[in-house]
Amino acid sequence: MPRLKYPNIIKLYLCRFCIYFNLEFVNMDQQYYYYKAFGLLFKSCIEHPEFIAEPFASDPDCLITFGSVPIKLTKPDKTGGVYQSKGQQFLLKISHVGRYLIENGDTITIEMIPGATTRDIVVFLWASSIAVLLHQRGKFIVHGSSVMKGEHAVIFSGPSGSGKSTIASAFATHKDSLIISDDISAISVDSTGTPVVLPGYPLMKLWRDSSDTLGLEWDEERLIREKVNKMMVNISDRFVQHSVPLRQFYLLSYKSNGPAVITEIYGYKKLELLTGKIFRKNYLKKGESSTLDVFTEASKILPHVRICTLERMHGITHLDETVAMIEQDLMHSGVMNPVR
Amino acid sequence: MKNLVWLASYPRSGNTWFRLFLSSLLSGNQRADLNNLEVDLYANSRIIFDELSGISSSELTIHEIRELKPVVFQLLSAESSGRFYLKTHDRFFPTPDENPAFPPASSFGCIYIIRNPLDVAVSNAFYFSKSADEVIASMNNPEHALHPSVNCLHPLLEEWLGDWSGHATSWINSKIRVHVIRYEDMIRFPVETFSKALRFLELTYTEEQVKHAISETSFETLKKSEKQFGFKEKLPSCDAFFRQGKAGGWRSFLTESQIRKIVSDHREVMERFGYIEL
Repeated sequence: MPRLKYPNIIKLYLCRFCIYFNLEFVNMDQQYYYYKAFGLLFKSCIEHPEFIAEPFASDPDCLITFGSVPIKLTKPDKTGGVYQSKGQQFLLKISHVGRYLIENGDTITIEMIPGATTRDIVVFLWASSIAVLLHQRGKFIVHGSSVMKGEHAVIFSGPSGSGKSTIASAFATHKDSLIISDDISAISVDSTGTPVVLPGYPLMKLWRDSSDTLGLEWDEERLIREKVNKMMVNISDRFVQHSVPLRQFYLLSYKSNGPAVITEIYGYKKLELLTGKIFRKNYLKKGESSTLDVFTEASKILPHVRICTLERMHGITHLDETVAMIEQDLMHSGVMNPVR
Repeated sequence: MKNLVWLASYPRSGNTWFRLFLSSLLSGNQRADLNNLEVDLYANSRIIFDELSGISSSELTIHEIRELKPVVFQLLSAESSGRFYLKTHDRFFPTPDENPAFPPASSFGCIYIIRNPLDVAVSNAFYFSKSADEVIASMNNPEHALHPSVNCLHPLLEEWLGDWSGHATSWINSKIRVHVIRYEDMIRFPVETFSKALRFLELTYTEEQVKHAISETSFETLKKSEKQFGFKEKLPSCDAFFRQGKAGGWRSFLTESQIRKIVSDHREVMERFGYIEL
């Protein structure tokens, strides 16, 4: 509505004034929603109807808010294509969308660029920005989608387009499994020393081919962004709301033809493979600014987890056979037996 | 640092052959292992883009990806003082915010491999399982792109080829120093042609080493190797990556009208590179 423009500009300048003089700016007009994801309670200025809502809480773990965000950080420790980091401050800049300032593992401030939509903002909020926040909190996060099979978690990891979400959703659709997390999986070691996968949020991002194969109705209104042909799928009815012990990790890669091949990995290569799949590993800074000791954490996880590579053809080719092969592998390897 | 070398060409013009030759030399004159090449960096690798940009390309629009490409290449260049050889089928284009997609300040140079478009049309038709007419139309389409992620995410980023003539001139007229190789010369005068390219790249090898690398990457050797071990870069839909390896195959494949169409679309560049007998 046009009449809102003027007050918003005033708010923006007031907010910048506060940042400049190191004062706290509180936007009283913002409405907040409470959600649980990755074992944390978020107080968010953006509404997500699909998320598991929590009642009002006075002490959330993390705040997501709109506000003024600097264009750059002064003397950053690290600079990448779309980001800068300095200590516990991380600036993510997506041109045409917005800037995200993630600080101290507990605050994400977003400044939208005119013309961007909430849809655009959400995409980079609940993937890259959350990954930074989890890194800042010292969580071990891998690039992978996870499902609960029986009582255990199975992670499908791999580069973008390798079929993580497709295979996970095929399990959830046809194999009586539930989704724990899509695209990023946070692993924590519980008080008994068991690695567990923390539930993410009940949304999956699927390409058209995968969506069609799984029998889902394609809806242009649900595209993750206007010009990105990936659909946001609500998986609330197939979503696990509790952490699940991790027993199996598959690393997906491509092959040019033939059926899928599963190969178990042993020894030091397991460590190499797991640490190599840390999500946005390049965000991690050496030295004091990262609270995560990757190798210590991985060494706690590895004894409990079977790790395999899974080579398969690109796309949805042989999807059913691949899923059946994984089922067989899980059955024969005994990883689905009760925790010893 | 000027340490990026672009191995650029329109698809099916001999780029892979040149990479295999270079791989054989750089790896100490060994037989090139098709699935484990010394020179196997792809400028449009989604993994490299995601890793260096710090964002998932699958969440970006094609315009945003194009805008970020030079930034990614600059970061790659800064990763090491060593050379990076990068294969690309992209044309040389300005990003939406008017920067060259391939940053001259980070580029050592470009080897541009050109092939008679009549043979390019035939080879592309077989490789992409398309009709010759479809391929000929795409070779004259300034917006033609390879593997756009429409229904699924391709492991490589979309490559903007444009039309065949524009592809060649975009690189040749770019602000990067370019050495052009004709595919037909790689076949007819291999030692001379490959040696000239090595001089451009400031790589010193003996004639014996060059001859050995040429024989290790001969068409027959590569075809045999593909049959035995497969080739990860081959499209699942085509029978073989290394099909004929000849020049002039178009004579027994294209119709008169198809030949006329290609010549009329690309006469100027064809004349410039000796593909039309005057």
